[in-house]
Amino acid sequence: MAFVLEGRVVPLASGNERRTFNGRVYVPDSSDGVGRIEAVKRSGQAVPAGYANAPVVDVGDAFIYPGLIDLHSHLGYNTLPLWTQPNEPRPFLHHDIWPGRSSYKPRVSWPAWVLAKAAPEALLNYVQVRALAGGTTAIQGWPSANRRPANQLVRNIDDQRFGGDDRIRTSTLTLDLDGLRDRAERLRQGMGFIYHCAEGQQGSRVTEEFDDVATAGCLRQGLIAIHCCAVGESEFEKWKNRAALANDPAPGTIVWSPFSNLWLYGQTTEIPFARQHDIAVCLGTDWGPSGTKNLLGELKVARLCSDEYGWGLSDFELVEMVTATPGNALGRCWNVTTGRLEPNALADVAVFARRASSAWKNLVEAREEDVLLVAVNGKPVYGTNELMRRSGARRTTSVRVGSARRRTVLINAADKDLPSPRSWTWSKTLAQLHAVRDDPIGAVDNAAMAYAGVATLPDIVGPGDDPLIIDLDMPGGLGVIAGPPPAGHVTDIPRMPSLRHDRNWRATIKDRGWHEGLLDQLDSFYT
Amino acid sequence: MKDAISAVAARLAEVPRELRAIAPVVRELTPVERYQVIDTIIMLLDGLYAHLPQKRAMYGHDPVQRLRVVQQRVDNIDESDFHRTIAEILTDLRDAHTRYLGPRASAGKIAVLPLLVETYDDANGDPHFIATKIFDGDPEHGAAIRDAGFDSGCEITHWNAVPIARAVELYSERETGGRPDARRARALESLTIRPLRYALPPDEEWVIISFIRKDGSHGEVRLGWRFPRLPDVPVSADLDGSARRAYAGNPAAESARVAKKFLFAPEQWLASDADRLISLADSFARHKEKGEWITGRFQDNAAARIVETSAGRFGYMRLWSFDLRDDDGFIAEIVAMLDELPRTGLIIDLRGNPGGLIWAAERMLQLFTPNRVEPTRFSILATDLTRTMAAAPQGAMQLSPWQRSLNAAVTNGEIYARELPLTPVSLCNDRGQYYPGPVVAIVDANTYSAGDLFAAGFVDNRVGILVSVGDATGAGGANVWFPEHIKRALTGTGYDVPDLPHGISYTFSFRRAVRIGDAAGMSIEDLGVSGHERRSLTKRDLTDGNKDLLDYCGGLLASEIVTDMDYEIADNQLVVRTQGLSRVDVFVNDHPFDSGPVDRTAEYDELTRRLPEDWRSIEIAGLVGDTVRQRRRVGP
Repeated sequence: MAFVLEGRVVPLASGNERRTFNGRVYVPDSSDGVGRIEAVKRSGQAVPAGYANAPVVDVGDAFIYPGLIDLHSHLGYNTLPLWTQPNEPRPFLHHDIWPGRSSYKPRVSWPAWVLAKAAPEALLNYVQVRALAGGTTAIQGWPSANRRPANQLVRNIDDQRFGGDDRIRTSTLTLDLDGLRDRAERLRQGMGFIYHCAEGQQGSRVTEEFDDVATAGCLRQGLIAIHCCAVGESEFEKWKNRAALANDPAPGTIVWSPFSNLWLYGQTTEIPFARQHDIAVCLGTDWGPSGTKNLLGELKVARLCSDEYGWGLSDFELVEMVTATPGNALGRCWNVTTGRLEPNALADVAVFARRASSAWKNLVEAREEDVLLVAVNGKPVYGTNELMRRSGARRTTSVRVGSARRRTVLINAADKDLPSPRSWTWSKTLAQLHAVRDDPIGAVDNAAMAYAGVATLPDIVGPGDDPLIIDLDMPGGLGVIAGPPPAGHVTDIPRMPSLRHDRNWRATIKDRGWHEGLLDQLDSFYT
Repeated sequence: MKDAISAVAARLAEVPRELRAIAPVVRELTPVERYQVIDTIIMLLDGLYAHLPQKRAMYGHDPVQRLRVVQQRVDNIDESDFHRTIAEILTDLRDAHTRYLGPRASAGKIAVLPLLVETYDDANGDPHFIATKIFDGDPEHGAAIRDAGFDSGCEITHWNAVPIARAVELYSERETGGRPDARRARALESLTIRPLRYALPPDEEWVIISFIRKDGSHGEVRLGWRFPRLPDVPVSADLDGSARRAYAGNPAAESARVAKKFLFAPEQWLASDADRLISLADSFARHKEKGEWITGRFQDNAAARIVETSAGRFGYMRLWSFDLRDDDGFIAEIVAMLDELPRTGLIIDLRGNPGGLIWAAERMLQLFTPNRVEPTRFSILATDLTRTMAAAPQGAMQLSPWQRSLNAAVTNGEIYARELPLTPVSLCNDRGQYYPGPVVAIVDANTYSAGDLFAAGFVDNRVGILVSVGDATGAGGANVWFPEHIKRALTGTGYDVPDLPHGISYTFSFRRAVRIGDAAGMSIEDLGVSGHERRSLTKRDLTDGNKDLLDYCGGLLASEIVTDMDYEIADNQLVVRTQGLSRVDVFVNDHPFDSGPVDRTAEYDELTRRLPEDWRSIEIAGLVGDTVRQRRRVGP
């Protein structure tokens, strides 16, 4: 159903990014799969053809932003709490160190693996709603899968085709030069490459990963490099020069995950140097064990870092890092507009309650309960009961976000191929995950039998169904992808945490990680 | 210059110009001799040809079976057809290392036309062919060239009335080369230069070239072939000397290179006579400040100069060929050249390098990297013949390191023996890093064999950025053996490889090169080594000294992060001077001795340490963070 959002529009329009106005965003009926914004108009301007009878969803003085884009996550791990290795004497040097620590597998790999194998649909429901709770409409870092999940709520950056080929490759694990040269060839053809690169302390040996990226010819505009915290000004300058030599209009993009960097390494990416050399900067949350829950948390960490280090990043610049800037990086590869509210841009929209008069400060300071409505591809997928109803969402289920209630849209995974699937509830999603927690060995065995076709799992795998199989993307130890726990080991799976950066979560930050108290100041945004 | 041109013209006049005069005058082979020729080739193809499984897979034909079919009709085949057919069967392997060399009557002569044709692609990808060099010292040619207004820089449109692109395409069908672009590159060369030891003589007495003058007008010129006597056996394939097992070259391309030098750089050709060579020091004195080529004893192999690019001033080293015997002397001369070049970046140009001594190519790599160099590995086809060679009582060709795995292949079914380096690892690292700056290497489809190995080692050891003009290097991945090598390897085994009549000969790829590092296990044959960056030549490159290409490479060098390190030892006091480094580690007598910080941001910094009295060797590592960027070794 087409609908019209009316409120304070923050379009981040190309060439006029700072402009906001009272107006309307015309969201088309996306049942045909198009999902592009029809028009964005100031109040009082003519209604576009076909919208005369479309419902107008007036959000009052709330802000209407482009949906937030998270360019760095590992969704399969986003049910897990923050992790630290007990008695670790000093910050980790780089990303190859911590996967070898003794508590990493029992606390990270094994619980993630068990949940992924035993309840993949429920797991993906949970982590998507966690992202939506922060206004995220597109996220990177999906586990590889044999098919789409039954509930695809958030845009999967790793698998977008727009009627053609998938034009963005990703790699969490470090590639050798041969692999990088293949990516370089794709970059030459205008494709994108999202790559974890040089994650660790400044000058540690993972800077060689950047050397390889450079040697292979990957320092192009299409490169979206996650982290780059081990490298410095010289490398950013090199990136700029190499992109210029290849006649690219600008160097590429880095994805900054300050919480995760500080948590693991006690340092973060030298953002001013990157910006000084025209490298675009986006924000990413990373993952449950060392990241924020959604971009609203990461925006606040970025604010704290900028203030602490004297970087002078404005709220506007931080907002760009989760909207227009990642939109530019992706849109260039996809040949679409995203991260902005413009005619023909992807209809990914997020409405936030007004907490501050400035649209930029408002988003940086926003909390999960300020998220009023989220639409992905033109479909309302998360929001208050009223806004969801008025924008045409049907058969929604209630989600508790602290003291607030929101609604989302879920279907029964067993009905995914039916024309009228039964709806599903958030509480049943949580129940499935809790059931795995209660009996991890039995849950994995049951799932294995269902996958083998010798059993059914009511409401998870229907008769003759094609069960979802997902594979995690992070290392499970030194040099291997996350694997199963030892036979017979009862994996301790933590309770499903809340969807907010709540007091309990913030309490787990204090005296842990290597941030030297900087992240403790997150409290200041919530009190 | 006049003297040099006259000398070339005189050499051209020595040999009659008629095709019939250079045709082999030998009696026909008897049927028994023909059987013997084919039997020998079959035995060697089946028994030791390193790429046989790959070629069968890649080209879908079986050269052994084709030879057997020819053998069935040796009584009914014309003499020239016999040789041509065998040559074609081996040429169809697309391997310039593996050739049938017919009766030797034409050996020592090279068919040449007085022009060099090179190609570039325009913005639409359409090829253009430019006469980049013309020799007009031959009186008859000179008159025709001047009358027609045929200058270097003219664009050639037709070759004997065939559109030039099509003519090259037709020639390429008779050429070796695993990829179409590699075959075209060789065909372009054989348009005007054909070493008759390795190639059939031209069919035509002369060619008619249609061209566009620089002013846009059209012209035509008729040029006859000349057949000068020039050296056509690579010196590095010689059986004597320590490097005799380590030849990897395209002998035909090496001969063509000599012919090009003879025609288009006659002064250098004359100067390469041993008694006319000047020392490197003299060359520096005469040429360095003028930005001219600096050469020394290895004038035929390497030259260097300083080049001004749009991104700055860098060293430019041309490696024409690795065809040499004295790799120690060669490395020493390269080191001396490096002393005279800017330390901020070096372009090493290996385009057209047909290979030669593997040791020279692989040992050079260490000069440019702080890391330990791993040489490319080589394997041998596991057959009864190679097992016999490896077990030969005299072991003259030193194949015993492969012996156990060749024997094991009988039971484990492996097609190849294990992979081992031909250049000893210790030799690849005996000197260590010498040049501190970043390095870019340029290759093209005529960079072959030991040139391929240099490129593979350059990439696989992360020495620098490889720029390929075209898709990749020429893809000659083998150690080449001549009949003498094979006979020597079989000495005392009872196997008999007969001498073939009329000097008929052959070369074979014997050991197959297999890459290391990130490309470990990949073969070089047919694939080549593709550049990290790929470039096409521009018209300006062909007509203005590679200007665009060098500007591009200069841009790559300028984007690199420069570090430098130098040291001095006096009275057991070590002073290390650094630039762009953050730490220096010192090892004495192979043990850690000391480590200290230096200022990365300062223009220069120093670290001074008192050495123990008993020091024999010192290694100094300069780091940025935890990564070694510079390394120097002193002693023992």
